[in-house]
Amino acid sequence: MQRHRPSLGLAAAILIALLGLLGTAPPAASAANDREAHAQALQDVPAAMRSYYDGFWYFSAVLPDPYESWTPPKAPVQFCYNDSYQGNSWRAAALAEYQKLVADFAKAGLAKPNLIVTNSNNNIDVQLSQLQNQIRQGCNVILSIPSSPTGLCAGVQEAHKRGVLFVSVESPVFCKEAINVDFNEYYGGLQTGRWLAQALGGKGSVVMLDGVPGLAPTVARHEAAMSVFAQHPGIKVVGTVVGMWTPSIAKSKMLQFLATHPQRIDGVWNGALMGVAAGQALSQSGRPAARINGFSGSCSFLAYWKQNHLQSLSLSQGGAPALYEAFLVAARMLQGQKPVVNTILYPLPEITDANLDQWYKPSMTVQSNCFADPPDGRAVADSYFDPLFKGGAPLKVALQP
Amino acid sequence: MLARHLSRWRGEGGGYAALVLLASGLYLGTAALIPGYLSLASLRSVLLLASLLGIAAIGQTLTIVLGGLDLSIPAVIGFAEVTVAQLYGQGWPFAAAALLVLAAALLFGAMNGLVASGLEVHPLIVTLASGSILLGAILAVTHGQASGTVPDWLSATVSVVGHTGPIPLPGAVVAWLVAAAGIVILEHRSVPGRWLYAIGANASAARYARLPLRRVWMLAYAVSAGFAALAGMLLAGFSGAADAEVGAPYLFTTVAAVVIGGTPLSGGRGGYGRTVLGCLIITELTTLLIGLGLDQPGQEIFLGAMIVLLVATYGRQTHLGLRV
Repeated sequence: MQRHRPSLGLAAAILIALLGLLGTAPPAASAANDREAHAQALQDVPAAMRSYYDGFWYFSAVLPDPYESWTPPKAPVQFCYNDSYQGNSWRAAALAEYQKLVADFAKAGLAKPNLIVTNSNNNIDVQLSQLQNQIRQGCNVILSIPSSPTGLCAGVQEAHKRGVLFVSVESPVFCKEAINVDFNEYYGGLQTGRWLAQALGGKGSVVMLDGVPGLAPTVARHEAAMSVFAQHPGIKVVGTVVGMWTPSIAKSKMLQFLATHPQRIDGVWNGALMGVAAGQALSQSGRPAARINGFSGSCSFLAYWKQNHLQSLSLSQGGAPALYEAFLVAARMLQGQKPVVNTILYPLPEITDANLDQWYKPSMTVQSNCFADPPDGRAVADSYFDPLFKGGAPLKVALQP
Repeated sequence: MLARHLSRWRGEGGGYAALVLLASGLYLGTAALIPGYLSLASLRSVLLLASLLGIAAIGQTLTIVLGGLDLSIPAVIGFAEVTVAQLYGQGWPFAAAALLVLAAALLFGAMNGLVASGLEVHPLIVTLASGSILLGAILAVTHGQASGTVPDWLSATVSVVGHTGPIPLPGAVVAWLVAAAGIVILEHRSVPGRWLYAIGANASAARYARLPLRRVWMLAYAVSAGFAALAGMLLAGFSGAADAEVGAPYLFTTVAAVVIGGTPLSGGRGGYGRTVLGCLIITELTTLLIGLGLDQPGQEIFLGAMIVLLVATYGRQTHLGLRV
């Protein structure tokens, strides 16, 4: 037998572990401290709307409208969809909504009836090449869900140069030639954090249940909720569990957290899609029920909420409304309306104990993986965007989600 | 006599006794560090999570002993989880849905074994490709809108507070322990079990000894997919959501459990008894790291470093086939 030589491997392991410990320090929030630059970026946003832009720097950039001198194409317009994934119900709902809206536009003679769709399966290089192909295929308006905030910039620049309108849907890009339409991730963290703090009466132990670490939505939501809890000295955040926005992982990690944290847990702040997992982990560990918020309005959470007579609050973040709002922005721009900035943010609607029955349907079960859409299909009223646009003509077709 | 017993416990790939000591030491060490950890609820949580990993890692162990690897386990888990929930949700009797899923998984696994051994393509490529095809097929059929439901008894089987008759452990844990005992016995006492080791140790010699290589490969990969499907069905009860990607964490962790247990990736040695301890060690270790407040990147780096450390200390012996 060969002589063992563990020293090399041992040294490597220790080095990796040390690097790991260095790397686990909390991310520096240098961008968040640059208040003056952020205020400067918002100067074109009407003062009354600025609270809806709170914390935008965690997940997007607010820049001047890159399409200021853009001349909209003549009807019928070729709409295209540059998607990065089609493997879940959220994406499927978004695509179906886009197809419906384009069909409505085509009936009115405003759009070509065929929607050109690509799916890169989360490969950003493939998505870039698909975007470049779509520009060459004659697309006039490209709605996109990019799988990277910077990876498509070469294509976005090319689109802008050739007069093609590029709009990102719920995934803002840091390319200065793009229009971004998104709900405010940070504001969502504030909404849910405020509810939890109020539901706990301003005191108690809270567990933070996060999505995929390091991603902008995770950081924005977490920091917003933490900023709320910091205002309540009675609220003690006892730990963060990384549930990866995946129920099975969230439940496993929550069970492990509870196994090693015997103290009472009064509240779980849920960063989306993991509320049911947290509730089940608590009850199966023999713990008393805690206050848990929803975030995305998943059917699973609504069913759990209804069946267990909980008190909760959830936001609604469905794929269809997300696509609708982005399409509405594109439709306004096709009418010559100019956005005051490149990034259009809106707050998500709230599902509360009082209005739960308008959202919940008996077909929803904790196993459902759909999303409850707003009763009227919109995240915000169409008029919400009025102060964020100037000039142009009103829409020729009354859009219906 | 005692020396012989001890040498069997020491094993080829690292001390069995050391693994047992590590697993129990981790549990007691965590209990000493974290007040309240030494409770039945905590023990059940750890055992339940280890059992889900353990059932998924049965096939990984067998294929690694054979000299291969099965990277399609996460896809089979996802397939089973989504299909069983969807069919039961559509009104199928659970037994019929489970049998269909199991049969499909066995066939899928046997195909993996057939292609890898028949065409002599490395199983890493074969199983990666077949797993990708399977995941793609799920998405194509469900259009990403998988839904469904599972019977309450299945949720109870994977509930921390579940009981198995008079035993205060959830059904998944008891099923895992029974399956583990069966696998360990079959590995060492059955003819196909011994063939597994013989082929893993030296495939050329096994061929000259006229062992049925192709059939053993098909059998090992079929068993692997079968247990991955079982893990998938249990996860349907555990997570409460039909999700084709539910198996993703089991790609890394099943290999890690095998390696931490001391079964070398070169094949021909080790066995499932070691993987059982590997599963317990991984689950206890991640629980301890969560208890200490280490964040996710820190946990992953620590686990990766531990694998490097273990491979460096006991995974670098010469392959059996190269020894005279």
